[in-house]
Amino acid sequence: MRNSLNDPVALTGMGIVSNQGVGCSASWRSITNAQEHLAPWQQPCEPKLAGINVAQTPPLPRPNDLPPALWNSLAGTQRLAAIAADEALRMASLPTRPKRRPVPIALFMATTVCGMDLTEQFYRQYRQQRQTADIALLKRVHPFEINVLLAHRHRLTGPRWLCMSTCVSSAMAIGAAVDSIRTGQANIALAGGAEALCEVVLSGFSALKLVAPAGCTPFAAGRRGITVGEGSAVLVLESLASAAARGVQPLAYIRGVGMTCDAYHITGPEPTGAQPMAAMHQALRQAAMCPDDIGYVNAHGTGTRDNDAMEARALSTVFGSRTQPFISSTKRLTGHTFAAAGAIETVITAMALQQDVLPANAGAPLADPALGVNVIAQPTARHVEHALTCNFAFGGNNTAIVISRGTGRTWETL
Amino acid sequence: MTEQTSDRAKSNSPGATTLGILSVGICAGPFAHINQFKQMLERTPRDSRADTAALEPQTADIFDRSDRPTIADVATEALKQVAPVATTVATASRTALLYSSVWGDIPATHEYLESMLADAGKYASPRAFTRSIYSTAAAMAAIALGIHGPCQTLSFDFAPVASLLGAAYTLLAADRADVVLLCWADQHSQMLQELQLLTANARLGHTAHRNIQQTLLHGAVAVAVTRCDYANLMATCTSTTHCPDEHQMATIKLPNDIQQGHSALRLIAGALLASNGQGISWLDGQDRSICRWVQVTRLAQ
Repeated sequence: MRNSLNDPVALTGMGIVSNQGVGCSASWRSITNAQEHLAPWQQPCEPKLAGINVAQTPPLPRPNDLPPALWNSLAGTQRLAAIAADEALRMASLPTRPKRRPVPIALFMATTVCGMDLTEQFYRQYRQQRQTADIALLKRVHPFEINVLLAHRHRLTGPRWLCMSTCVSSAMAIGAAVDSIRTGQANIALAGGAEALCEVVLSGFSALKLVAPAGCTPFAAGRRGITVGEGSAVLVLESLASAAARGVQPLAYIRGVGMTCDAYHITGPEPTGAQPMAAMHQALRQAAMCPDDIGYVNAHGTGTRDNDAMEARALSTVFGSRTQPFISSTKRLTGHTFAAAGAIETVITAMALQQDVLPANAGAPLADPALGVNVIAQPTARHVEHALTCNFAFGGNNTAIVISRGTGRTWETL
Repeated sequence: MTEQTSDRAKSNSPGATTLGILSVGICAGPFAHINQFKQMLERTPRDSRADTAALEPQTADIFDRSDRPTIADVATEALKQVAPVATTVATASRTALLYSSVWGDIPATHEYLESMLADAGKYASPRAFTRSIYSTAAAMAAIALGIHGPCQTLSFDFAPVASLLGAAYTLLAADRADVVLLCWADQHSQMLQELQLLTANARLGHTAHRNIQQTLLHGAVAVAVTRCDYANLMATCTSTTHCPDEHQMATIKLPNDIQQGHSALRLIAGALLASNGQGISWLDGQDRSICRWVQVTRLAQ
């Protein structure tokens, strides 16, 4: 059934894995305590990468249905996505391993590094001795292997694609899920992203001089760059009718999603923030809200000079200085998880709305006065009805998502 | 279908998504422009064995420059051919771009891995790193064409044409754009050839094997699509759980290279050749019980 293009979409399940913990409960406890779990990257090939702090997940529990040999052969992104998807499906009261599903479920996932951890292993062998390199390592290097694993494991037979538009990818996946539900192409969709640490990413951003070795300090005067992280988040989104028919109360609602493109530069943002602002306005328009309705913004806040300056300008313009909502970036806590960032930050924002606690702008309690934004210095108890998450990416892609409080059901009451 | 779809209402039957095709473009093999591709189609007898060299990778010859063209170059070139029609229908902020590549810029990824591992990463190349990112080609095309709508780089484990058309349909139905530019691009490289050889010998029974071995585009194909109300040329995607008879439509025969090549080639060939009585229909991909079909037809004038 086609819904209105402004209808709220129910968030009925969510799963998260990051350096903050495995699962919503562990992650939320750590985030509200503003606990940083950064540590140096352990196995650098490049000596200059030794000592750079990264946000690495704790050891992951192997799902019972995945035999050890298969589990160990998976790419890091697949393992992370498998854990997050399990939690999301369980929370949404959907069976994780059904023989058949009464309605097809769509799948929109995101990654950028794909199986680069396996590619690196293969290539190290290949450049030493081509004929003896373990070709089996290439079995799961391709990005869509995440979808293959999830679709086959959970019998997801609806429309599916995987987005690789770097740091906005999983926000775009959420947008696709919302659009598919609103246009009647799906009743239920899984959307999210996964990104595993690998040397190529750390080395690449280091080569671009965009990494802060000690950890990022979003919006701070002396910000030096990003913290590279890994993680995954998966959301179960469905139409209100579907959630009601299944008797599942929404944890939150996705009210609007904006997507625009700068068409300006391959790696840098367009400094005026015109298109990010357009994305925010699009999301607000879909939600039938005005900027004053937003009580909290989970900012992209990577800690790079150019992103934070552009984002602060865009937020100041959209919200004005007097009515500015509470703003924080959670990138110092989770690291920048690139394609997974949009989904991870949407889950964190949904948890913040549920729990009436807004996460801190960890790493930088005071913003650079030149930016004209105020950030949340420490976790703050506050009741907020509506929030906005923003993500921006290489290539000038911009997304904004409006999220509203749910019915009062929390993951902890399950 | 035994009869051609005769009106738009029929083409929007439940379970099918239909888009209007505005324009098609190509930069692949010896074809620098869609007109050259069209001439080849007109020259080649439909039922003959085609010239198998027609789509060998010769893209380097198209660009008058010393360095090799990148995947971004060929994608942008193909998209430039379809963009002018798009601008007559939509503004920059109402134009979206969907880009898909099986392997991305393999030479750039290879170059970056080599620069990272050689000399302990002393000369790790930021340029190669940036180019190795899958979405860089889409970003460069968006910059070249000034697109401000959603710009997405997507990957599919099967049915590359039906899936990208499906994603475009969603953007149009959700009113995010009035025109969506689609591009499929991949790049011939020595590294990929070696991997194909190694995996063929290893006989990997897995998706990756299938995809390393699958027919690559070696260039770029672009298509501009819009809502089906605004065009006479239609692409319809159907998802089924079995092979239905209705897809056995009156089909135009294509040269073997195109029939056996990447299905994006069938899409543009179908767009160029479809007449009121004949179109093209094919099974774009199958995953266990799901079959995704694409059909290209021209409506009666």
